[in-house]
Amino acid sequence: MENRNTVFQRDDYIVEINHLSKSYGSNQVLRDVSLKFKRGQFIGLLGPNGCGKTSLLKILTGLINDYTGEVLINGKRPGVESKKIVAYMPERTYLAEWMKPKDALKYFADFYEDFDKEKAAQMIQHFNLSMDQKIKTMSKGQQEKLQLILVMSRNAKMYVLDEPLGGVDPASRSYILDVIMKNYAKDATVIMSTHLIHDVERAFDHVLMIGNGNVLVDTDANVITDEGKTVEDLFKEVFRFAWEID
Amino acid sequence: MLGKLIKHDFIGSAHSMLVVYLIAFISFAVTALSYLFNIKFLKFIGSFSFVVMVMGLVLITTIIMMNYFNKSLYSDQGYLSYTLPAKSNDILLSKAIVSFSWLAISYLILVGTVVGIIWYAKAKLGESLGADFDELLDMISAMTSSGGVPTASAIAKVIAAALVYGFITILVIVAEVFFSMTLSNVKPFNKLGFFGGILIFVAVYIVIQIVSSLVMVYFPLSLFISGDGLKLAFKSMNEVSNTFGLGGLILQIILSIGMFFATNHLMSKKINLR
Repeated sequence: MENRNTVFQRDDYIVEINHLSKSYGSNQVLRDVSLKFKRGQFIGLLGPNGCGKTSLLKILTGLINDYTGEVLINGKRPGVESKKIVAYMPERTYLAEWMKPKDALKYFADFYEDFDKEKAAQMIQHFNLSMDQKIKTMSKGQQEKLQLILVMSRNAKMYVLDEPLGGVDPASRSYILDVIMKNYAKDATVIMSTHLIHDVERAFDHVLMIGNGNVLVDTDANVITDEGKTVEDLFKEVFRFAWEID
Repeated sequence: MLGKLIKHDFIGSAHSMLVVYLIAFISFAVTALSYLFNIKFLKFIGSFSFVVMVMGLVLITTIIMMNYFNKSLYSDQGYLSYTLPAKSNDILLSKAIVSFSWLAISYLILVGTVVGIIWYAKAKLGESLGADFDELLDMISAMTSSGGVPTASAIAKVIAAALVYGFITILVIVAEVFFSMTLSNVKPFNKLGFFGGILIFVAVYIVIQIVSSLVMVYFPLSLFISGDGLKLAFKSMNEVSNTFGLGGLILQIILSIGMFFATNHLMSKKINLR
């Protein structure tokens, strides 16, 4: 929901989605969704499993192309140009098993002009990861940390993070969230899907809740807190109701 | 961008391919040492493993290319490959160039090894190696019906024809591999997994072989092996002897291009990574 006292120009939005629908066979996961994401915001994408969050993120990153409706990133359809400015971290390990962190750094430096190799190397050292350890011998948490380092070392215009805290221990979550908060370009937009609302809600500028393929909540985080609620409270309220009508 | 993709595809696939070539080389070294020092028990094991390895090299390379293609595009790694700022046709072209190169190397090793074994066997029997070269010239001479020593032009044409044939053979394999693996990741085939891709590949391979063999025999366009080397003839292989039907090869080129376009279309429009 936009702040009604402010008039936004088209250039203020990094993402514009109009009447987006996506189905897998007879299973419709997104139904006529229309959204706009403002530049420079940290957006929490929330919803129960299978609600369409990951499909929406895959569409934004150009991984899914067979949808109906219009999706514009920085004014263009998802494609080569949008991939140059979008840094994506999926919920799974997308690096080849034979790679070591030093190989992954070379790979990202080759393909992404906005990749800061020195920053990535410093973060790897900071996280106590070895440059010479093969990815297949790393724990799930170490793999996620490495991917997060690679993604956050890009000076991207938009960061798409799909469950970045899923595989890390509770002690590391706060630390990882700090890494995200400190390392994204300040004029960039961050879209993060998560189930761990309590751990991250302090970071959200804007909250988007999706259920059964529909947008149920699209509002600034301060609107929720002004009502004396937390984002987690609202989530429980909304989805209890959503599942009752389902 | 294409250059970077090729570089990383070579690095990514080299891990498996270099292991295969290393095993083939070790088998060769064991065999050579066993003969050099007359170690009887190693002779059989070394020779057997070397021959099996080399004879299966093209098949092993094909399977590795299938696995590499499938893994880098349709497993978790696909999440990275498809979010690179590269066009899908560049991604496909890069993998085609790399797969083609590994298959070409494997074919060269296979041919080189077979020639080497024949020459070694002949040398052991006391036959002159130079005699083989004379035999080859005689064969080309007989093919071109000119008698005597064939002209340099005739030899060049035969070699060029053999190279073109080899090039097309590898191109068809690469196109079939990519098309099959991609189709196996599109509904309704995506439930079959990697094994489904192999089944589709075998089916596509057999159908194309049968159809192109028929077209090769009956389509009225052939290479006529004449006194001047090779000439085009607008008659089918079935009608005139001493000809090689070109219809099958042309069909294979068309089908390969079609399969590359279909693969690119499926990659950019139909693939939903799981």
